[in-house]
Formats: sequence, C-alpha cells, structure tokens
Amino acid sequence: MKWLKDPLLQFLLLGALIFAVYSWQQPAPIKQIRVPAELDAAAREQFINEAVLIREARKLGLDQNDSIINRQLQQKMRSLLEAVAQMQINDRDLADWITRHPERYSQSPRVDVVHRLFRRSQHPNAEKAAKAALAADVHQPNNTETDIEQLFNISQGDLRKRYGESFADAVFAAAGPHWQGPVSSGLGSHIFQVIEQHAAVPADFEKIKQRALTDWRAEQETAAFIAGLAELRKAYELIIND
Amino acid sequence: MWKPLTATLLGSLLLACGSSPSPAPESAGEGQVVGGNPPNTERCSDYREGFKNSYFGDLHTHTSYSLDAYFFNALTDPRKAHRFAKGIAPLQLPAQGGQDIFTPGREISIDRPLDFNAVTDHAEFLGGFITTCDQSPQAQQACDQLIGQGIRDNVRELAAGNTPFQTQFLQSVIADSPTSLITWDQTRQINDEEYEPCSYTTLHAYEYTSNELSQMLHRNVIFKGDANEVPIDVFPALTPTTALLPENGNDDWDLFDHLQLNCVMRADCDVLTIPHNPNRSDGRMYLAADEAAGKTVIGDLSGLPLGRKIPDTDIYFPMTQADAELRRSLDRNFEMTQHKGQSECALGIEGNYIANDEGYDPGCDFEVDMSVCQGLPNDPAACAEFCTGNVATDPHFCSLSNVGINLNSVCEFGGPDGASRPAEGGDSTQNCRSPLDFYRNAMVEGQKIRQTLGINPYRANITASLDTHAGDSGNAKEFPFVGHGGVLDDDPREQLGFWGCDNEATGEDPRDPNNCTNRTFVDFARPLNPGGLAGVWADENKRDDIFNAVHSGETWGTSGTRMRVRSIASWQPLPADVCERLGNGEDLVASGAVTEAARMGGDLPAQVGNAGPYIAVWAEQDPEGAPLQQIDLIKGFLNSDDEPKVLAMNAMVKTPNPVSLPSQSSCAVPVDNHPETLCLQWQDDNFDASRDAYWYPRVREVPSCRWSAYSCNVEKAVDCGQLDPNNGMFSDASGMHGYEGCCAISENSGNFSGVNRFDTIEERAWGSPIWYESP
Repeated sequence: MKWLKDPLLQFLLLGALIFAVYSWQQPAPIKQIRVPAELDAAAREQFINEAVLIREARKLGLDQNDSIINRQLQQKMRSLLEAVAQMQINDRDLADWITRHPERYSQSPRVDVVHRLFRRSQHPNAEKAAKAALAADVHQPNNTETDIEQLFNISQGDLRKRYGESFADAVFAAAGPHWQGPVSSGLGSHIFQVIEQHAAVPADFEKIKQRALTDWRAEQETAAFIAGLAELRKAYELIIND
Repeated sequence: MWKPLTATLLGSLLLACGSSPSPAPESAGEGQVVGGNPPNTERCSDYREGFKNSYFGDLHTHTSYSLDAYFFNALTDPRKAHRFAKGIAPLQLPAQGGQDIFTPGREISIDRPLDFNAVTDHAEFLGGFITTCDQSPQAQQACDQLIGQGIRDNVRELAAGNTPFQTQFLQSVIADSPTSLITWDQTRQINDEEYEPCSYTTLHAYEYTSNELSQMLHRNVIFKGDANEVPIDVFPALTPTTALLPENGNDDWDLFDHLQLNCVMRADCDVLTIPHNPNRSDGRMYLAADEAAGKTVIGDLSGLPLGRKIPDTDIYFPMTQADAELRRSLDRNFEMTQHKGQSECALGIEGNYIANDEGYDPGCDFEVDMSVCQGLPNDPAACAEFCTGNVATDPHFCSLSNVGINLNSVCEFGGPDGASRPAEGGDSTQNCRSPLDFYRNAMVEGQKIRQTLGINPYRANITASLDTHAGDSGNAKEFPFVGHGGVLDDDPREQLGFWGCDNEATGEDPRDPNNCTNRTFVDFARPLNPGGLAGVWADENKRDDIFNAVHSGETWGTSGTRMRVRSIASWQPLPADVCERLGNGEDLVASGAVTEAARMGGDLPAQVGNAGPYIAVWAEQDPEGAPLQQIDLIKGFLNSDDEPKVLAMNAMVKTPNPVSLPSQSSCAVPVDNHPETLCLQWQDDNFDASRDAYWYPRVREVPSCRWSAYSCNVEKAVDCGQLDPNNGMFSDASGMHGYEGCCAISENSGNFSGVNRFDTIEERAWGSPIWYESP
C-alpha cells in the first residue's frame, strides 16, 4: 500500500471526494426547453412532455437499433443526397438526353428479312435439310416452298416472340445481304436473308416529352444519391466480422 | 355505400396512337409473303389485311394497390408491373426469405415482354393501405404490425376462403373507404400512360373479390377503351355488413347489375368479366340445375339453378331468362389456370359428367390445387390410378397432406351462402370440391339449363393468367418461381413446405418431435404454380382489338408456355391446307375460304346436311419451350337422356416418337424429334344436331420439370438420404435445410427417412371451344 502514500494521488482522491459530495448536494443542471410562444396551455403541455420524453429517450440510447428510426434516417439521408440533383432542364438538353437513350424512346432498329424454316416435323434432319438448301440455292424467291416467309419492319423483340431468341439474335447480328444460316430454334432450322436494315427511328419529342422529363428527373435523383452515398462511404473502413 | 355516380369525363393522358411511321415496303417477293399486304401508315407494322396475329398477355395482376398484396410486397404499383411486363425495367422485390415488405432486396426481369396486360387490383379497399400506410415509416410499421402480420399469418386460411372474423370485421369497417376513388384514378392514369399502341396494350381492370363463407366467387372486370370511357369508381364485394351478415347469394348479380347500369347502358363504355378460381368456390360459382341446396325456393326450380335471393333471407328465386342473358353477356371469358391451380377438371371430381369408359380423364392430373385424393379407402376410384404410391413419379398433389386446406372431399351438393358441404358427412363450414367448380362440367351444365331457359348462362371462352400478388405480370416460367404472394412464399422453405408445430410462438421447436404439438409437414405453397398466360388472335395490338378478341373468344390459355393454338369448324369439309392457314393467321371465315363455319370461341350456324361438323385444330410449340406431345379434344354435350356429359378424346394426334421424362439432374427436355407443330383434322361422326355441344382442344407438351423439380434438382441437388432420422429435417451443415419438401418423408417408430420426389408436368394450352347450340 505504499503507493497510497503518494501525495499526488492523495490530492486527486481528495479532490474527487469533494467533487462527489458537491455533486450529490447540488441538483442536476437544469436543461432548457424552448417553447413557441403561440401555443395555448394544452398544446404547451403536450409540447413539453414530448420534448422531455424524446430527450430522455435519446439519453438512454433508446433511439439505437430501432428499425423505424433507422429507416426514417435512411430515407432522410436519401432525400438529402437526392436534393442536390438538377431538376430543371431545357428542351434542347432534354432532346439530347432522349437521343442518348434510344432504347427507351426510339422505335427500335428493325429489319426486313426473308427466311425459310425447315420444320422438325417435316424434315427428319432439319439442320441437314437447311444446309442442303443453302448450298443448292433453292431458297430463291421463285421457290414454291410454303415455309418461306418475308417479314417487314420487324424488331428483334418481336422476332424473338415469334421464332425464339437464337433466331432473332442471329438475324440482328447478321452482316451482308446473302443467305445465311442455318440457325436452330425450337421450331426447326432457319436460313435467312436480311433484305434491309432500318435504323432506330427517333421518337417524336412532343409526344414523349413529359414521360422523358419524369424519367430524366428520376435518373438525376438516383445518380445524385449513388454519387453522394459513394462519397460518404469513402470515410468508412470495412471490417468483416467472423 | 359509395355508389358510382356517373362515368364522367376525366382528363385522359392517352398517348396518341403510335402506329408505325415506316413506309410500306416494296412488293418484291410478294408472292412468298405469308400474310399478304405490307402495312399502311394507319396501321401497326404487323397488320395484315385478312389475317390475324397472335399476342400473349396477362389479365390478372395484383400490386401494392391491393389490400392483401400490399402486405406481401409494398414495393410495386401498376406502373412498375407494366414496365416489368414491357421488359424495360426490372422489378424490385423484398429480400428473399425475409419479412420486410418495404425494402428492396432483389430484382427480377421478364424473359420475353408481354404484348398486353391488365392490372387487376382488388376493388375492395383499393389502394387503402398504400394510401394510409405509406405516409411514413412509422405508419408503415404500425400497419404492418397491426394488420399485415395477421394477414400473413392467416394467409393459408384466407386462401382457403376461411376469413377470420376479425379480418372480416376490419374489411367491413373499411369497406366504404374513399381511397378507392383516388387509387382507381391513379390506376387508370398509369394504364393510359403506359399504353403503347402496336407494341404494348394496357386494359383498365379490377378484381371483384367475394370471399364470404369460404366460397371464392372472384371475377376480373375488364373494360374496353381509354380512361375517360371507364367508370370513375370500382365496385367492391365488401359492404359494412359483410362480417356480421355474411351472404353471397346475390354477390354476382350485384356486380352484374352494377356493370350493366354503370357501363353497358352508357355510351362509350363496354366491359366483360372473367370468373376465376371456381376450383376454390366450393360449389358456389356455377350452380346446378334442380339443386335447391336446402334453400326455400319461390317458383319452380325444374331445369333451373338458383337465381337471386331475397336479401337477408334464405329465400331464392329460380334463375330467370333475363338474368341468364345478363350473366352470359358479361362472363365472356374464363381463367383456365393461374397460381392457385387449374379449373378445367380435377381427378376424382368428375361426378356424373365424365363420359369416358374409365370414369376419369387422365389429362386431369395437371396442377390440381386442392385434391380429393386423400389416400383413404373411400377416395374416388380415379385417385388410385394416379396416386400409385410411387413417390418419385406420382403427381405432386398425391403428396399433399393438409386436410381441410389442400385436401378436401367431394361436395354432396353445391350452393350459395356457404350451403355446400362434403358428401362424406360434415357441415357447411367445411370446404368441399364440386364437379361444377371445373370449366368443362359447368359449361355443359349450362347446356342443360338452356333446355329450360333458352340460353346457356355459363358459357364462356378460355384464357389463362397469373394472379401474381407481387406485380410481376406475365412471369409465368417454371423457374425461377418467385412465388404467388411476395414475402409469403419467396423462398424454398415456404414454397416447398416445412415441418411445423402448433405453438412455435411459445417455444415449441419443429426440430424436436418431442417438443412439438401436432407436428406436421405444412405443404404451404407447394400446391401453387407459376400460373398461365392468355393468348389472343387479333388484327393488331391495340386496346379495342385485344378487348374484342377476349370478348369474342378467339383466345386460348396456356400453363405459362407460349404455345399457340387455333381452331375452326365447319359443316363443309375443310381445305387440305387448313392447318397451315390457321397457323399463319389467315381469317378463313372472313375471306369465305371456309363457309358455314365457326372460329374458335364462336357458334356453328344451323346444321347443313346430316353429318357432324369438321373440326381442325392447329398448335405450335413455344419456340423457346418444349416440343408437342399431343392434341386432346374435349367434347361436352347433352346425351339422349338430356344428361350433361363430357368426353375427353385424348391424343387425337400425337408425336410419333416415344415420350420420355426430362433429365432428373438438369431438367433438360429431350427433343427426340418430337414435332414442333401438330394439327388435328377430324369430323365428329357421333353428333346429334338436336343437342347442344362444344369441342375444345387441349394441347400438351412432352413432360418437363415442375417448378418444384427445378428447385430440388437444379437449384439444389437435394439428397433425401441425408435427412436427419430423428426429425426428418436437413441439418444446417447439409446446406439443404428448407428443402425438406423435395422429399417424400416417412416415419417408422420415430425414425424418419425420405425419398426424392421428381415432379414433372405436361405444360399445355386450352383453346376456346367451338360451340353448337341446337335450334
């Protein structure tokens, strides 16, 4: 117990004791609640009660791990981050933006295509028959085969709906005006010739302006949120709990 | 109650017609063009004069605007459903396996966009919860705790039609909520904004959901035209007295009267209704002729079903001719299959209708949602033919085990106001299955009623849809199956089933059979399925064309596959190339190529000559699906004793090759040179022109995996040999916990073991019937 004889320690302990006794004798420091003057008596009571309960709850940490509060905080942060987004855009810039999103607003690219389907039910080996036809050049327009079909101005999506994904993809990836294939689909084996490719047709600005504006704003907000969140995350180091 | 006032004009945000601006192509190669003329500038680019195109859609989707779907997934709305169906935006769903309905956890996208879509939120308290609960996270939480949890906990009871009193009471309290007006306005505005003529058609629609007394009496109400042509409010089945005085005897008439007054009789308004899930109506949706169901009847019921009742009494009138016409004019189409099973037919529930010698139709083993095959000695005879005890290959419904939920008895009789009851004893509080809960029996019962009333009140054509409660319109593929009800059944445990105890809330543990009251395997979502799609033949993909097609019945329904079906009938021999011409969309009736004829969904004219009609059915497989196996033709008719009968003529044409099951490990379907197209050309040589008849095709693919087989074998290679013998469950370490429903589990004095099930199905399509009504 030699260390108890240290004068510095004795001084500190004594000081702590005096402080403790003093604190015990004194009431807790008074906290202030600012009450709006316009409240009547009942509303004032309500206001005060709320303020006291909320402050005391916070002091006890009751706001921690509360799913409602956490969700509210997230939503507020999201709104805060989104609020920096640009909300106004002039027609010219909006039109620019529209042209940069052809997949949303333009009529998609289309083709005129002639194809011949060798159906599985009609050809024991549909792929072989398709190859033979391609080699023998029997697919020309004067052929009377009924499974030659010409499709005008059809989009990749609509071609897929009709003949499946593999054929639609092949037609839209095709280069050159020659007959090509075979491509197999669920229905059989196809050979085809792309007659004409139609580029995407830009949308009529006036018709889609409102929809595009709504979409543009949503995009700005999302972008602002993502950027803001990424910025905030830079300040954090991740530790993976085992 | 809020009564609709007028269909006043509302500001329509209809997009101007988006027909193709592309120039008509030159006529090079015209001789080979299947389908004739290229488009003109007024028309969609796929328009072909004299030809129809096939389109696929969904006529049954719920979003968070529905009172129940909100608590399954509060993230959706009609716009999100449309954008998902268009394929332009993924749909956000809550995290798999969680209960947080407010926070996105994953995204899904549709594989192939739909051509048309009708969002059909429940009219009852339409938008009520999203309007009141989405004000703040606190409100969301309060709603979820006070109401949502209760709905989710009781969902199996609710789905069986057993609405607890407190839920009914809540529904009554909120029945008159004004939120429906606002939400219906929003719905219509969104529908108009998302409508893109020629590529994506939206239809204005809601669901009328009468659920009283454990009897589902549900209809989708589909309107023609734009928002300003549609009534400004919806008509709910709930009234403030529903909970205290449950009765459904007039529910269908109330809806029909309302639609007649508020739409049909108004200029510019047209509407049709699509009944769905009679398979859960307990003999209520379609009432039998001569069946009083214990009610007091004023008048003569011979040859007639019950009609309207005197409200608040048990006194009924026979159905009148005017009412039969009213019902016939609105119930234009029928939802043959959906998440909650198919309503064509079910094994063991054929009653006296079946005319097949075997006494059953083996094609009725598909997606039976509530089975009468309980494994008991007095099961209907057909059960033993299909539930053979081979757990590896028996249809999934053979292993359902929750009596009263998904296992029921056949009804002694059906009837309104909960009058139906099981034949095997029991009372009206118990669910039962009636032969008239299934399409083909109801349609032929209507023929019998026509003999007395001069009109078949039940006649309707065929489509199919999803009934998703997660906003994923058209997402009908088997795998991955995201479930029917959002967080309710979005993970394997919920979908495939799980062990449960009565008192898990107070600490009982399914893992411990000794501490688990009434330990049972809860099938939960296992009887459900990913639902079907609607197919239509129409000139163009525009509102009026799609509506008219559904109205006239040149439609078919599929079990989710994009198989195409078309049929025609005539008193004259059909052209040799009729199959090809049906397939390429030619309108053979309009062009006069086939005369004295009926399109699918239509009427044969008066008989010409003395022979039966010639019928052709063409079908083509989904180009991204499995090959075809066979075409069945189902004939409904009145026999010489005026008894309604159904004859299933299976495999009228079929693949020439032997059919095998898909790979159990990969679910790959062997093509085996099965045909991609089948066509039936047939003449009915057993035809009596003095009796009504119908013929509808059922086209089946070769077998493929049911969603449950994908979950058990592809998503996870479940090995039932690894079940813990102490409790029939997989350990956490096995990585298979939650997949217990993949196994047929048996117990031998406390020792559990399991065998892998392998659920396969024959995906199918049902074409609208050809109808013949005798003079």
